Amino acid sequence: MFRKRFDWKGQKGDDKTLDSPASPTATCMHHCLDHQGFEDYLDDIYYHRLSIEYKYVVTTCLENQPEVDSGMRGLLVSWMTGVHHQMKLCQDTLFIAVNIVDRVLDVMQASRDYLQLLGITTILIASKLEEVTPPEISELLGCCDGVYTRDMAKQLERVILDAIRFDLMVPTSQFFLEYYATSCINSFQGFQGDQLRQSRALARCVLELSLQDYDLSQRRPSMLSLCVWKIAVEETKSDDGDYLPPGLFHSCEDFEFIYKEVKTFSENLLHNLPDVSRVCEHYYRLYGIE
Amino acid sequence: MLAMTSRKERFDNNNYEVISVIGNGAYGTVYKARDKEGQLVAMKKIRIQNTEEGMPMSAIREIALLKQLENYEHPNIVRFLDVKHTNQTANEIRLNLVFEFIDQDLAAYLERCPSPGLGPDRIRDLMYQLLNGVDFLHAHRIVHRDLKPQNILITRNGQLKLADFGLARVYGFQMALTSVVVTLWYRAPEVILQASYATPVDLWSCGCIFAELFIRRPLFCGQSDIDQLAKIFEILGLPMEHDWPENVTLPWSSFKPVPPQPLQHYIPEIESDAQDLLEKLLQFNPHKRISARNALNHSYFRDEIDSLRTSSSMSVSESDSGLDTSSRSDTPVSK
Repeated sequence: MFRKRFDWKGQKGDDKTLDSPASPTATCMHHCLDHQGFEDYLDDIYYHRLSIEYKYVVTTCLENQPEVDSGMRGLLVSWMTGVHHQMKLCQDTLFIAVNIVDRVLDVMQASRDYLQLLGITTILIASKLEEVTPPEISELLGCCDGVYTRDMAKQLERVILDAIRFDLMVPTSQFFLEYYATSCINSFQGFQGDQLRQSRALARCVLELSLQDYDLSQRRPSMLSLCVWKIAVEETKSDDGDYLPPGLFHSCEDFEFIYKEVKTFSENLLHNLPDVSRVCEHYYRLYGIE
Repeated sequence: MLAMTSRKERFDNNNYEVISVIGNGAYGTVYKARDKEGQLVAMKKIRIQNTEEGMPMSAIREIALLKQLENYEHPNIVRFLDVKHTNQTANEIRLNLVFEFIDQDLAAYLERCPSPGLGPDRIRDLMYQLLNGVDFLHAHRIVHRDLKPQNILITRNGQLKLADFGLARVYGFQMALTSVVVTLWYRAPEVILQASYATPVDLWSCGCIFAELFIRRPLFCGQSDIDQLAKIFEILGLPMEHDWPENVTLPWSSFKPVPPQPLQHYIPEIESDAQDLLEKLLQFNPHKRISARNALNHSYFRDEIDSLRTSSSMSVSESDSGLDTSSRSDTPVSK
């Protein structure tokens, strides 16, 4: 079904992806521009997204799915991640696409045969929202070995936009991670700042892979990314000055529960990763150092 | 469809019943309709080019932005309730945009207003709400571009709400095909000269509307682009040559030099604070024109702000930071 299965291990050996000459800063230009223009408003946007994130958390999208279980969802997201890397898109595009997948599965039943079509169509929609030059439908269809047609993608695009009522600007965990990490990095210089840049690269990696985990995908994005950030800071032996995000109210139990979940998840992951610095380098290359 | 079937009820078709046509704008037809609960809504039917790549990027972004703004429930912005595809052809995507229904626009409100017109407090309240809505749009990088009494709505309890913003780029395709005459009377001079289309264009329109609240007829009624500019200069005087935009087809020298007229000649009842604000809004040079945020802090609104500050029901002091201006006029302060 997934002709090109994609996961971290596969990617590790894939030299074409790893040693791609394309500059990551060019890849995520739009993303950086976005933040430049919005600097004055970034705190307001943060608080606003914090207040509405609960609306976009999908918790039961796989109930009543006869053909899709959490393993299948994980495979789909893993494959989408590969397509996303191959096309060198901004990181938030993937997070938005996966959120759309979950929200579509929440209101519709999907057949196993069309999961990949769902994957590329959500990437198409998220790209039109986020990217300066979104990939063309033909490129995306190419990732599916010609199983689907242009008309099918266009038709599904329409069905998806209706199903989620064009509500696409969702607060993603990626947004919160960038907000936390940038706040921390900006308050430290020199060696400590460099360490925190490493933490951020690792956190980006862990957070991106957490999209494949059905349980983690149901957590509040702001909370999930805080836990991922804290674990990345520990793993890279950095010091973020015991950073606490503003306005994020939670109970200790809440935090500890998700923290433990993320800890288990990242321990499994790091166990399988050869060495952390290589991961960081890869994510530097993918999404830039700044 | 595509082996995907709807499984939750919130997801079904045709739950709006069209009652009548409200208007035929430049952007297509607007209908008065009723939803399943019997609530009246305004439904806009728009057509977008169906490209090889599916829904155009601009349309997706603009509609997603409207949807996102809805999360703020700003008191001076019309509620955007729903969006849905209808039957499409190979070349066209058809969408229904559903908004809250408000049966009165500012033009009708002014027409119905008995002599001698609106009182100064009512004018100030309306202006504050208008600028508050414009400030909210500008904070989200949306330029309305077509503010006029016809797309400013007034609810029964005097709340002012902006409509028809953010869709200019969605409609782009269709605009090119229509020959509907768009009114020039609220157009900023730099728009007529095709020099720039940034946020100040909306503040010019606010100035024109401000004057109209006093005199209950438009301030500048031009019949053509050139006539509109001439009408503007007749009252405000020909601007200085160095304020004239560069690289525009109409040169400064094609207008005869006229001195500015005192605004009191045209608006006898205007008080000095109001006049000062009006002059700042009707600045020819967009760079010198006052911003919505600064206009809201103008001394003309000082009492308004003070009365809101002292009111125990809301804490305005918190809303001074950035985007969250919504608490400033949660309740219409009609007097």
